[in-house]
Amino acid sequence: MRTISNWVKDGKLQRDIGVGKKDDLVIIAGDLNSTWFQSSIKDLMNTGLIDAYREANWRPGPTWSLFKWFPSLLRIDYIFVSSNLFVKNAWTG
Amino acid sequence: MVRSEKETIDMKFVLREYLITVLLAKYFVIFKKNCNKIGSLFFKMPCILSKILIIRGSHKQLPQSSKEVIRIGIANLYFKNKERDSISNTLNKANFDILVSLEWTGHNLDLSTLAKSGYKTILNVQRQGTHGICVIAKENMNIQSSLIRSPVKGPCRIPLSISRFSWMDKKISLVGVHALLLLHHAKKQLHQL
Repeated sequence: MRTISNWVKDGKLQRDIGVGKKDDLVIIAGDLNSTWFQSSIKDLMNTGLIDAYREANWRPGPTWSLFKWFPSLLRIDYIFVSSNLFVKNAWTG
Repeated sequence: MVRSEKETIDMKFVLREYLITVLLAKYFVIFKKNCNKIGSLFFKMPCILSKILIIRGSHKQLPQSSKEVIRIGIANLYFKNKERDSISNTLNKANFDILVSLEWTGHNLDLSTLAKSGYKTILNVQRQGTHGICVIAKENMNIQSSLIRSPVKGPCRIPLSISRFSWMDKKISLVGVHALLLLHHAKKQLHQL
């Protein structure tokens, strides 16, 4: 994730990557297998990206459980959006 | 919508998630010591607590797509998932404009169902295990997508997708990521709290 963080600054792409062009606004969506206290998430949030779910909700919105029989308690799936975009709402299910 | 000014992260969220994680970490320690008493209060209490905390909303509460609103979704299909009809219907009802699907094997999502609902497949990389990725979007969207090699070195490198589209005169790059599970790393950081 640290490498991906290096691609983004102020919510914009810093170089051409695949079809993505430099200065495009960035949205990163994925199963990051990381929780908020891990450095990979903190790195992303320092690049001008905001966590869409956190922006729109007060509940944790967990998506991962340690065991199948246990309720989900941690969120490891995220959509980070450029701070130039406005999140109206977000949902996990 | 385009944000007019930057907002800072609300510290209340950080504090709340910190407290929940510490409480859960403490619970797991207690549960480990009392695991022979399944059915006891030690087991039931966090289940009840978590049920209260994680009452989920519904995608129906999300605003509908319009000139100012775009709905973007991410779904981990789970490569062993055999309920492809169920998951296809759920994703169809969620009415995304763009959907990034991870762990796409070619068997765990019915693209024909989604095609009937007006979706086109932008990127279709079928792989066994967790390495597949699929990007679909509404027919009216002008979007391109490409697969890029993972920047991570080693045998477990999972490719990324990058899709580019225009919206409200802005060019946007959507990166689809499936990161590796670094459980030992997470445990180490949890102990440091």
